[in-house]
Amino acid sequence: MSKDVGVWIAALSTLFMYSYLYKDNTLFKFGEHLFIGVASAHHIVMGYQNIMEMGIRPLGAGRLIVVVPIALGLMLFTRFGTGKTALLCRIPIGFLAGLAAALSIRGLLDASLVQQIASTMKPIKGINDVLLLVGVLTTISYFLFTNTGKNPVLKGSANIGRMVMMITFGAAFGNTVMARMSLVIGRLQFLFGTWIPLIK
Amino acid sequence: MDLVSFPYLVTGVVGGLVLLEFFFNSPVLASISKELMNWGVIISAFALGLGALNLVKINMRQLTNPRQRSVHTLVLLVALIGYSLLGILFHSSSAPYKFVYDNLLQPLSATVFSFNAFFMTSAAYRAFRVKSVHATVLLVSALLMMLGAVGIGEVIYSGMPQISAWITAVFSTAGMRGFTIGAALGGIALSLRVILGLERSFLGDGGGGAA
Amino acid sequence: MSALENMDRRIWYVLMVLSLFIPLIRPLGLPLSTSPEVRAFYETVEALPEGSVVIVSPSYTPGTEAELWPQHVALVQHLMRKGVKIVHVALEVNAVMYAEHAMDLFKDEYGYVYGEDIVNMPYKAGLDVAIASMGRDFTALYSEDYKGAPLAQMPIMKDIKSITDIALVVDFMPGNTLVDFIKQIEGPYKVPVTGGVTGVCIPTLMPFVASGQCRGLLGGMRGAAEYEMLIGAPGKAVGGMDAQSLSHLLVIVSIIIGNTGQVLSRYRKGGAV
Repeated sequence: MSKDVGVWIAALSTLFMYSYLYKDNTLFKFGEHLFIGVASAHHIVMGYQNIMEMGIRPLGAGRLIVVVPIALGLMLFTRFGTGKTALLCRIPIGFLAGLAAALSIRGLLDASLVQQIASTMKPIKGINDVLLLVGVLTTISYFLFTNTGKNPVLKGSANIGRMVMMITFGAAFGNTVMARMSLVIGRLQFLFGTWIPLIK
Repeated sequence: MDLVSFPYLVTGVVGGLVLLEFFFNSPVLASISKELMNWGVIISAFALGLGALNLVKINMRQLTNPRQRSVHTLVLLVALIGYSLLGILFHSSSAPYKFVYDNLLQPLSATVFSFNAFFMTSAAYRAFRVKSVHATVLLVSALLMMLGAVGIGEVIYSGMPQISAWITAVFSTAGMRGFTIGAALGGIALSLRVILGLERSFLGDGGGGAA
Repeated sequence: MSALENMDRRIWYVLMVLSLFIPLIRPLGLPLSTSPEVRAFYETVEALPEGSVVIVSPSYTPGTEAELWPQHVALVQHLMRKGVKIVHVALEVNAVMYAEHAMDLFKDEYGYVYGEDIVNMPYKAGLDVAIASMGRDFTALYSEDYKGAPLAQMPIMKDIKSITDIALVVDFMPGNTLVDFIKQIEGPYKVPVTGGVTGVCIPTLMPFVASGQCRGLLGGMRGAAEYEMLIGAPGKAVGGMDAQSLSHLLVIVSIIIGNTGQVLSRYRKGGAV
């Protein structure tokens, strides 16, 4: 068994949390609240360091324009206030929303629209290219033509698109199983590789 | 202009300037856009504290209420305030901070997320039912992917990895590309509505304006 | 409801732990072939010339560390073996911690000097805003390293005037940062981008891999295991693959048992299946 205090703390924390799988209990609640506290604190520390590095230190060095984003950032906390003061937080939210919207358009136009369409509309060299083209077109038609009415082409296209999506969801589920199992493997590798070395 | 409508003007101006910079080769626009993006990083850093502050507010209220008070609330507050002070006073690269991160935060976080595997196994047993053609297609695809992703699939049938790679490269890519293009169209439309002030839900003002 | 449909979930929990634990202590030696996406990732990194600068962005959390940490570690080892300079950026609050750990694992073995061959940048909030800002003006966004030391005095930064001086960007994501790098860096500035993702995100990235916007991809623990084998350094990911096999079989068995139970219930109720 490991003699490292840190490893023992980590192992006991892990076992406290896993005790929930049997039933809810005080040890799990203790670990849960500890986790929330420490995780939130880490976010605060990282945010603080970011603000110091990009805001306070440049301000101290004479870059006065950073007063604007610092003021906007502080305005976010007015949401905890009342009356008209609480409305001030809408300004920085509006700023971030505008910025995000513009960057979103910039990114989506080329990377997600033009490049993806260009990559689909390429010379067909084999059956896989046909399947890919049909799959993309029918999936898009399923989303765009929600009400197909009696049109047999649109109905058929939407049905094929739905099948393609079912295969996609199945593939996603298979990958999700792999992802989730990896997380437990990671914990077991720690418990039985580092804490109680049974794994060679 | 009041505090209710002024934020939409901010949205429009900021969004408009950053968007125009994308289309016009202007050093002035480029400089403004760069500054606005850096401001966005600073403001986002302040937003990290919002959630934590709300947490402190709720838990302090619980602590002062004899009916809701519990030792766990105290644990949360001590951990939050103590670890924050440790990081602010000694920096996150200090040994004590790293010790708490490596031996408390990391294992607790990893274990919480690993619950997903247990619940997923239980859910697959209880809820994954083959009741239609679509569900059957989904199940077959999932089984092929699960077997293709691991060594035992290759032992059962040597071509299993190639089958799952084919499903991923053709059907999964086709489906996801359809999603991506559809989502891009929707995203561009929504973002334009936000910049033009037609979409107001992001500030909690309910539906959009005139289409 | 038949007994098959109504098994206590804790039985499944125990079976799951056993199916993962037993292969970890007694490996089964199951085969592991290389997928085209991992091969493409490996070849992208392998083609980097010595002395070039790569941005590595470990945008993951402890919750997804089991899949992405082995990928990150294998990449750092591969880059150091090739003499490529590494700039770790942090777009997620946990990134700086992972960057430090990964650097500390290998820097002495390969003689890497902090500030000359490798540097860890501080955390920047805002995700896609930070990435766009990185592309717009890299040196304006970063003036200090993670510990507050001025970057202007570090030799590694003397050749980095803009994002186009970067040979490759590698992001490890459970969320959307790799897609943001493709949108905000690969698209406008034509800087090659690649990365590693959790299993859940593989389908999301496949359209970008197929179009060439993402140069290869490491997918989940399997991707990490394949990459470890390619660089000749089998590690935790390879060790975990046998456990993955049995656990996948268990999930398949659970689905079969659940559906069998349902069929039997319906048969007992009304005769029709």
